[in-house]
Amino acid sequence: MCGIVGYTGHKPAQEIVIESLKKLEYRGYDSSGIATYEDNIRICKKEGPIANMESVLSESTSTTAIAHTRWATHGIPSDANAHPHSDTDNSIAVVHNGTIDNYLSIRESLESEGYKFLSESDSEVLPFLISKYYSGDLVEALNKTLHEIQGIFTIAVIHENHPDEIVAVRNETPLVIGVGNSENFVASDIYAILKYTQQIIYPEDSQIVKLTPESVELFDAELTSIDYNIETIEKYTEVSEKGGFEHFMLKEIFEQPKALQDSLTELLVESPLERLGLNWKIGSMSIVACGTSYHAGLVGKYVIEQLTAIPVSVSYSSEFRYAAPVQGVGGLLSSRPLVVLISQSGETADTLAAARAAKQQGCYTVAICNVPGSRITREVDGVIITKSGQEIGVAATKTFMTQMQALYALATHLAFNSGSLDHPQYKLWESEIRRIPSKITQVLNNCESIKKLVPYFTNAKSVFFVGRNINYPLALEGALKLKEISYIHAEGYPAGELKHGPLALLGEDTPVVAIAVQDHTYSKLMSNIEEMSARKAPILTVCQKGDQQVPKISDYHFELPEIDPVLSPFPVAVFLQLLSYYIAHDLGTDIDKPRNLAKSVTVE
Amino acid sequence: MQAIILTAGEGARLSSWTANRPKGMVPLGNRPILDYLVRGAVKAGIREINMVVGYGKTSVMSYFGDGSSFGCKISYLFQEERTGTLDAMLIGLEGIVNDFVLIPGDNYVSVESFRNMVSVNEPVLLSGKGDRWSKWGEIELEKGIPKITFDNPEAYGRIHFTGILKMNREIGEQLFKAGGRHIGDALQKLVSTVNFEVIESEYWHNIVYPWDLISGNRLALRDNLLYRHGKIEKNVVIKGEVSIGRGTVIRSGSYLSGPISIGKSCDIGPNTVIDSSVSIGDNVTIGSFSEISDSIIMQDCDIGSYSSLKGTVIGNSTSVGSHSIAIPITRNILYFDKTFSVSDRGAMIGDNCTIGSRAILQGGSILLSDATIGEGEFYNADFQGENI
Repeated sequence: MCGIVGYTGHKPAQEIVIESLKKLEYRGYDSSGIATYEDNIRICKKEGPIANMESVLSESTSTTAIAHTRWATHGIPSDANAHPHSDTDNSIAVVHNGTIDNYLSIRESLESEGYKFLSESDSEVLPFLISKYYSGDLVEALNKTLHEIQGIFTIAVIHENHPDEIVAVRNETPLVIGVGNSENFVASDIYAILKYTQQIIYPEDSQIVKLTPESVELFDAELTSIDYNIETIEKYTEVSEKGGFEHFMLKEIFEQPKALQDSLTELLVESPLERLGLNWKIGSMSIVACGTSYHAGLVGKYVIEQLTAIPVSVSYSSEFRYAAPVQGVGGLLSSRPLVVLISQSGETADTLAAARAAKQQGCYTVAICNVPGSRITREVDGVIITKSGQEIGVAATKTFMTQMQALYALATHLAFNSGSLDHPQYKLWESEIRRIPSKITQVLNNCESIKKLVPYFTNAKSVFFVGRNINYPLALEGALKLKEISYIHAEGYPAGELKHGPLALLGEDTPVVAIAVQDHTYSKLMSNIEEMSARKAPILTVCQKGDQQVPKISDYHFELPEIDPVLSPFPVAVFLQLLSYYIAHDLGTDIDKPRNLAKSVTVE
Repeated sequence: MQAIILTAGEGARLSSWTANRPKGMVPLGNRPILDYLVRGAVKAGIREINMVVGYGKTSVMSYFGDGSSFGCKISYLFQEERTGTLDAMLIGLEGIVNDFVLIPGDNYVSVESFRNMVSVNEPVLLSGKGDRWSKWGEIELEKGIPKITFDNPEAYGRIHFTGILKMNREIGEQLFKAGGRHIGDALQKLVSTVNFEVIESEYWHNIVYPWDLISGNRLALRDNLLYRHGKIEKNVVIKGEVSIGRGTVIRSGSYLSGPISIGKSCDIGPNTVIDSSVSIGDNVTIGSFSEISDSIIMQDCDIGSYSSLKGTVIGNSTSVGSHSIAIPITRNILYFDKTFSVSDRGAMIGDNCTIGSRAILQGGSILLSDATIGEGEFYNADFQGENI
């Protein structure tokens, strides 16, 4: 996790890197720090959000700087464990994103050589190693260091003997280079630097990058200079203000119709589904993702199975990558398995590893991703790009929505290809998918009535979300949203499973949020609600417009706009997001930056 | 120079389309009315805008964001209770340093008017010629000194106050102290002491009634932002200023004669005729052999084949079955207890309506949101609302 940014040029570097660093705060916000060159290396670092560090920052004339925002892995969030780290005589400053797996043995051997460590961080071995190997050439010193360390990392270094030089390298964690006019940048993602340049280089693993204001050089392991491509990224209006909304999360919830609309346009214009070339008979399919994306994947399973009758298994990336390699079994090209990987950032470490594992097993891999040019899009066989725009709130909202949309589009595409949908049915589905933005707008417009539910939750000990069939994943997602931003314990369950255990927990202080749409499971769900209601749990139900039964058996009900049950996850998701938001808002938690979390998880 | 845009009110007279957004977010020429005001202000060199929002505020905030994609900085100020335009102005004064332009969000005004106002040093009242009484009052000049009157409600073709004025903070505060029903009323008491210059607007349309949308749309398409993306199949004829958004398909044999603005991801044709002064929002499908002219189709609509729509407004997410007809006539409309004579207007249909196939919508008929017209029905009602 952690975010890195570096600048070398002719302008005051401190301002630029701090501003860029703020755009990386989603990657972690436990502590932050900056290193500049003021006749010698000066490091300023502080526990807490970037604002804490900014408040103790003094004037700088440096035109070179590196900075870091941290999500703690090794060692608690503290000033000492914050980056940049330095060596004994403070000649060097290093920022690091990732983990050094063998740092303990390196640390022991360095300590036996007399080096004194100041922190608990694994990263601190880096400045000592680099300065140990330094003999006038920083690239060479970093290269030697790479031979010693194992793990995943992005590293950026500055040295007092090279005041306008930044040297950086990556291994499995992100690093991008921005090329400007007599100024150059390194950063963890493009959004951090797009304000300054649209010219981007994506270095490969273990290529060492050397930046000066006038030059960018890349070196391979033998230190021979290698060629690189500069890509031009679309002009991008940045999102830095909440535009009247109290939180980014709320803003992003309200941006969902637009995100869906833009992603739909992308599907129509770029035809990514046709480009996938899925023209063989697909025998089985896996969807692999983490967190909220995993829930989108589960919804995808229901709709793909319903439309195509292809069996779909959904796995967490962290489990899939270490599971027995059964995906590729059979291996016949005619039934080549399809593996769909979902990652908002395209940098999620586990999902990346899962993509590689799937590829190795001979599967056809497709990524659904919100960041064009991100790591995963470079490694898989096919890509569907969602156009949610940048999501700043840590709790995923609009990206969940567009991921579901992509999966619905994929489902109809597969179904049409395989003949299980005929042309008129396909057209009908197409127009249903078009209608989604307007359906969810109707839920957004009704947000005031969702606020009325908040009092049911303020004293809740625990909250249960239940649903059946295609809305079972929504129950999981509702619970996830609530716990991550309000810190209230919540669980999502298939409604039929409660009596196999959790019913024992129900009572007056455990409200139940039930998702009741009129599909073939409706009558069963009604009896499940009766069971829960009999245990005195307050029942809050989201149902379809005009439902007669639900109001009779619920303490409160919220009506969805008229919609086919198969498409109900879209408006239901908006309802659940707003519910969690209003509850968290009432409790006064830090909604955009929940404790202990970070937006994209680039460590395992 | 700064600006205050007032857009907190509900716009009850346009309630077919304002169930969840303020009047200023209703589209003309495929963009919300507010879009023209913001872009106009920016083109006149105004970089800071205070937007006073209330009713349907999220629709405004989601559309404009922090203003960076419009080239300005937009701050939002909240008027939760609907206590009138004077209160709204006071709320909007926060952060206003000196000179500012006050803009009620229910006017369509061309860019040039803003430029002219900003170029004058004195306080300015923007006037406009209108064929109808303006709620802000009429401007009469007596020996060069403007006077605001409300005496002549049948003020056809006279010079009206648009509600838009340039002043400084001090005058703004005086205006608030003067008090009254609204800004025009308060101004009536102030014009004798403050030396206002009167500038006539180039194009102005006050958007109050449903039939204003059609005439407003005609005006707004003069400012058509030109873009041409999408896929245009063979044998499509396109004449005049026609904008087509990304992902839109215009199918073979269609005939488009501008000015027309078509949004993103639409599917139009084959063999569809779209005549001048038509705005079509994002995500609209229009079936084959349909003819549409002088109309607004908002986003997410489905228009069936063989439909004929003229002088018509179709709200968001409304579907119109095939063989439906809405043809203009001249008639009197009883609306909110008043009678209006209206010509060349077809049907004015709200958001989320369903119009069955073969329905005939009589010219000048008005339909509120979420309504259904059955198959083959003939609809002819002035107004379906609480008053009837």
